[in-house]
Order: sequence, then structure tokens, then C-alpha cells
Amino acid sequence: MEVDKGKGEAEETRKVAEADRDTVTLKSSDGKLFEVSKEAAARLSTVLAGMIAGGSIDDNGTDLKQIGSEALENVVDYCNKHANSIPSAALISSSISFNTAPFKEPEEWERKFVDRLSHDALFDLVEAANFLGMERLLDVTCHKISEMMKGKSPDQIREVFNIKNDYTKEELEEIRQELAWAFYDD
Amino acid sequence: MGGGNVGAQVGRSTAGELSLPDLIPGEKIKAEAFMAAASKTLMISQESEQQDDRLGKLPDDVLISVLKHLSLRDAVRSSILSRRWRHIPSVLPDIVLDVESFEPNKDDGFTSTVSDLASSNMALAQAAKSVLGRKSDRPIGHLAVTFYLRKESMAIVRAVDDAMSPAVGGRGVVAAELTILGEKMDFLCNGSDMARNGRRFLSYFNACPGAFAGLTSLHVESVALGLSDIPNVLRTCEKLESPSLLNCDSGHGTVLTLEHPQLTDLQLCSCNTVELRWLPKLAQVACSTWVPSQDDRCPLLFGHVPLLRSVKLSTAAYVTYPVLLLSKLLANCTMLSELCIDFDSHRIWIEPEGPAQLAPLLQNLRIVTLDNIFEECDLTWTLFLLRAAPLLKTLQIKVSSHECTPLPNEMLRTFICEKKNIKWEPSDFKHNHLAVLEIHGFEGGNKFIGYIRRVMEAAVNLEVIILNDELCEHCGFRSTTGYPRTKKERDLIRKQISEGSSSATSRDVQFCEMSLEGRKKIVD
Repeated sequence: MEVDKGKGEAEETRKVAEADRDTVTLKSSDGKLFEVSKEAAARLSTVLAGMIAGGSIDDNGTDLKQIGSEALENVVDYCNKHANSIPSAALISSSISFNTAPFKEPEEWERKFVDRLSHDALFDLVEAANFLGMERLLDVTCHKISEMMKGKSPDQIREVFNIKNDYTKEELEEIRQELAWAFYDD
Repeated sequence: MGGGNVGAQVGRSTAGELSLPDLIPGEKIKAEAFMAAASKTLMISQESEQQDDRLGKLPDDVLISVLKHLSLRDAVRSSILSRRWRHIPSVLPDIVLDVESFEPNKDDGFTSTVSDLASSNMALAQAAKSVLGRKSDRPIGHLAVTFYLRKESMAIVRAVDDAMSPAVGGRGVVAAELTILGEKMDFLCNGSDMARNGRRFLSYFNACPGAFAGLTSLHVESVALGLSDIPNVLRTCEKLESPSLLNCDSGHGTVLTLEHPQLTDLQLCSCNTVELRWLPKLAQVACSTWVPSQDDRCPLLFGHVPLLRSVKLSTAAYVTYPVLLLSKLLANCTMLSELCIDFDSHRIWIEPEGPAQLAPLLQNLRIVTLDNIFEECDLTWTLFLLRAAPLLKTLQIKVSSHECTPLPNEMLRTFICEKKNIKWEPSDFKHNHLAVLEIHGFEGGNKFIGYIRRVMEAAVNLEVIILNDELCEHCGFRSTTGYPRTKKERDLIRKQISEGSSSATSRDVQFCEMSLEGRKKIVD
């Protein structure tokens, strides 16, 4: 498995046109090319897995018109980092466990990966992950957004995310009454 | 980054002072071109005045993925942000309501007064009515409600019942869990407390059978039901997969008999003997701190359980316990592949047996876990399980140097057996399948090294020995002595282990430290 190949520097690797490649080339909305391991792409993205299985991958760059180059670079980066950090089989202990957690907390590298993103880059990546059906990446980015909301008042949340409060005073009062149990300490 | 992104970057920044190096680090662009692009986008951004609400533009499904990481209360509060969020409480797929999060002031659970219980329970009832009463065409994927077995909880059960029935406008529920806590700790309940709890439970049950019919998981505490009520409750809970019973019975000395087509996981704690008479889908059962029967019955009686794979038994040894023979306990249970026995750092309450009685019952066993063996105890006796289970692949033992669950009552301590070492040596034997020996709470010294060498001598195909330090997942206790923390110490251990090996093949020895999140890190 050659998981190390796709580094986002597509300009050089583009010329390598082999018939049976273990990478796929993706093209951002602004025409930049990125290369990513086929195995990682298929494992992490349901959409790319479907395209690879269906043969709709273009060797000269599969068009992803909805994704800008910055977001696509992050997507490819994530795929590569993920491929390099698969826990070894010996680490998976087989003891009896009666509770399985539905969400695995982000690994440290995943946390670092999303923490360095600017506000807009984070949302670009959420949209890209959602578009490509990348469940784990969507989970990790959404987890980051949830942390930006945690422990904040509605006003503080509006400020962080530039949300315009378009309710009337009456409507606000109505919601507070409807959901009194959730607002008892405000 | 190409020059094409300049516009986007300027657009993002509403501040007036734009400096070239900030915008396009490492890029060389002609000043005129930059200024033209910048002034153009500045005009646009001034027109739109505000930055984008990127969050609000995401589809509902993504917002739900964000909110699932927050408490239900915080998720519901999002509804007040803007009109975009108004309907969000009605489409949340996970609804988890726990009475603990409604406690007026959080305490350790021992000192809370009944009136605190009452007020948090009533607050929960309010919340349940409010959040479960919302109309929506999206069903609730997962509903979990934890509340006290009190009179006013009828309102909670009603709200659950309504949510489950689209006929009365409920959203419908895919998987529902009820956790019904006792008001008193289980060991403080006497017979009349349990009878009263039983009547309360039946009052919910009779008023809202629909709520119970939709449950996949149910936990009840300190409830006594009549012998005829149990089959009736089980029949109505037709979707039930994971029941959990704490201190439940139908009177002193009775056997609780279970027959159910759907049960897959069963958890029992402080119950009388339980007979698993007809549970065709049962895959795993965990049983802790059982009440011993007078006529020497085992805590579990196995009947028709063809899919049962895993049994976990955990308890401290109480003076009233007879020593348990696995050959007697597992008499009907030949399909078992995982066996876990937890001694809670007290006396070992099973007795080593020879392979003649045991081997026919353990013929499918693949994984054995012996948890919380007290520190001073010898380990060689554990080989009786290796000896009797020819296909065993993994042997895990955990030696514990501390008691982490403080006994809730000093009086209980007098009921616990004194620790006593077990001396038991198997006759010589070879084992062909064991691949992994894993020890938690490993320390340098003769006891562990000798044990490892003894296992290696028998297990000719052993591949890996994993040595972990002691870290208690419950209380965070980490042993600071004995575990080899330096490379030099670890190499010495490796040398000592391999010196005992008569075969030419060397086994892989891994040293791992545990993290509090239960993650294992190979250090060497």
C-alpha cells in the first residue's frame, strides 16, 4: 500500500500517467490538482468510493466543482494523515465490553488538524466533508464547532458565528416559555 | 495559494487596515493589481456590512451533527439563536434526559435528600413533556431517559408513551432506553421498600404498556414483582434486547426465570439466582454480586441459550458465598467463547479444577480475562483454565494493588472473606493455540517473571506478551512502583523472560502504558 504518495503537490505528479494507479487525482473548483491514495479516498469518503467503484474517476483530475483548492488541500491532507495513523492490530484489545461508544473522541492529531484552521477554512472543510460523504472528517469538524458553542450564552454564540437574531421580542418570550426547562438559569 | 484567492481573503476581513504581507504570505503580486482587487472587494464587503453566518447556511443534518456533541439542554437552547434554528429541537435524533443533570446542586449522591430527588425528578418530567411533545416528521432515533422510581415519574413514562405513538402525534422512536433508579441505594432497601417499588413499577406498566412495548433497553432497581408478573412484563416488552436488573427478585430465595425471544445482553447485579430458561438470542450476560441461595445453587442457571458467547462474573467474595466450581456453573454452556471473572481485589472465589470435568465445557473458549486478582495472590492457579480450554487464544490477567470501590457501608466489610492465597500447580501440559498473554498491573520480580515463563513453557505457539502498568479506569489509581519505566529496566525484563525460554523462538514482549481514556500506548 502506498499511502504516502498524495501530498497535495499535484503539479509534478500530474505528468505521471500510469494505467493502473493507486492514487486518484482530484480537481478543485479553481482548477488545482491534488493527488490522494485511492485506498484512503475509498475508505474515508463514500462519494469517492462510489466514483472509484463506478469508474467515474478521471485520470486527468476528477472535477469537484463544489470544493475550493484550500478546502480540497485540507481534505487530501486529512486522508494522508489518517492513512498514516491507523492503530496497529495489536493495540485493539479484545476484552469484553458491554458499552460501545457511538462517537470516538478526536485523536490528538485530528484535534490539531482542525484547531489550526481559520473560521472560514473550518466551514469550507465541513462543507467539503459533507459533500464527499466523509463521515469521520465531518464528525471531527462538527465536534470542533460544538466546542466553539459550549458554555456560551446565546448572545456569545451569535457573536462567534455572526448569527443575526431575527426574532421579535414576543417570539423570544414564547420560545423561552416553551423551553423553560432549558432556560431556567438564564 | 494563487493570486485568485486575494479577493476571497480581502472579503473575509472587514477591518479597514489591509496590509499586503498579511493577505498573501509568501506570494509576490504587483501592488497595483493587489490594490485594485482589494478596493473592489472592500466595496462589496462594505455593502454587505456583516460577515457571513456560515453555520446557519449548513443543512439541518450537519447542524444536528454539531449539536449531538452538546448536552440535550444546550442543543435545545440553540433554538433561540435565530429563526433558522427555531425547529431544531423538533428534529434532534438523539434525546438523552438524565435526572442527574437536573439536580439542583450536584453532590456525591450519598447526602442528597429526598426532596432534592423529588425536585430534580419533577424538573425532568417537565423537560420530558416539553421536548417529547414536539411534533415532527422525523422520528427520534435514540431516546434514553433516566429517572427515579417515584410517583410523579408517571408523567415521564406517559411522555415516552406518547412520543412512541404516531397515532397520537408522537414522532416515533427507533430505539428507546429507560433507566429507572431506586430512591434508596439498593443495599438499604428492605422487603417492604422493594414491594412498594414493585407496585410503582407495575402502575407505570399498567398505565402505559405502549411505552414498555417499544423499549429496547430497560434498567430497574430494587423491585420485587410477583412470580406471575414477570412473564407478563417480559411478554409486553416485546422489543427488549438489553435488560439490566439491580437487586430485583420475587421474594427471598426465589429463582428469577427469564424467557424472551429478543434478549441479547443481560446485566444482573445483586439478584437471586437467575435462570436463563429460553433466551434464543442471548449473546452475553454479566452478573455481579449475587445473593447466594440456601440450597447451593449457582448464581446463573443456563437453559436454552444457543447463541451465548460471553459470560462475565464479578464480585468480591462474601462469607456467605460457597466456592464456585466452573464445571457446575457452566454445566449446560458449551458454546462459550469469552469468559471474564472479576474478583474485585478480594479473595479468589472459584476453585481450580482438572481438565476432566472442565474441558468438555470450555472446548470453544477463545478469550479468558481474570480481573482484579489481589496483589499478594499467586498466579499459577490461573493455568487451570489454559489447561482445560484447548482453543484458548488470549489470556488476560489483571493484578490490582488497590481497592477502588470503597465499600458503601463499613458493616459490609465484615461480610467479606479474608484474602487467602491459592496454591495450585498443573501437571505438565502443552497448549498449541494460545497466542497472546496480556498482564495488567505487571511488576518486575520473581512472581510475574516466573508466571510468564510457566505460561511460555506450556504455550508453545505464544506470539506476544503484553505487559501493562496498573491504571484503574474507575478511580484513576496508577501504581508508581514496580513497573519498568526506563529502557534499561525493560531490557532487563526482556532478558529475564527469554532466559526461561527453552525453545529457540523468541516471543515478542510489548510494554504498554494505559491512558485514563482507556487507550493503550505501546512504549517499547
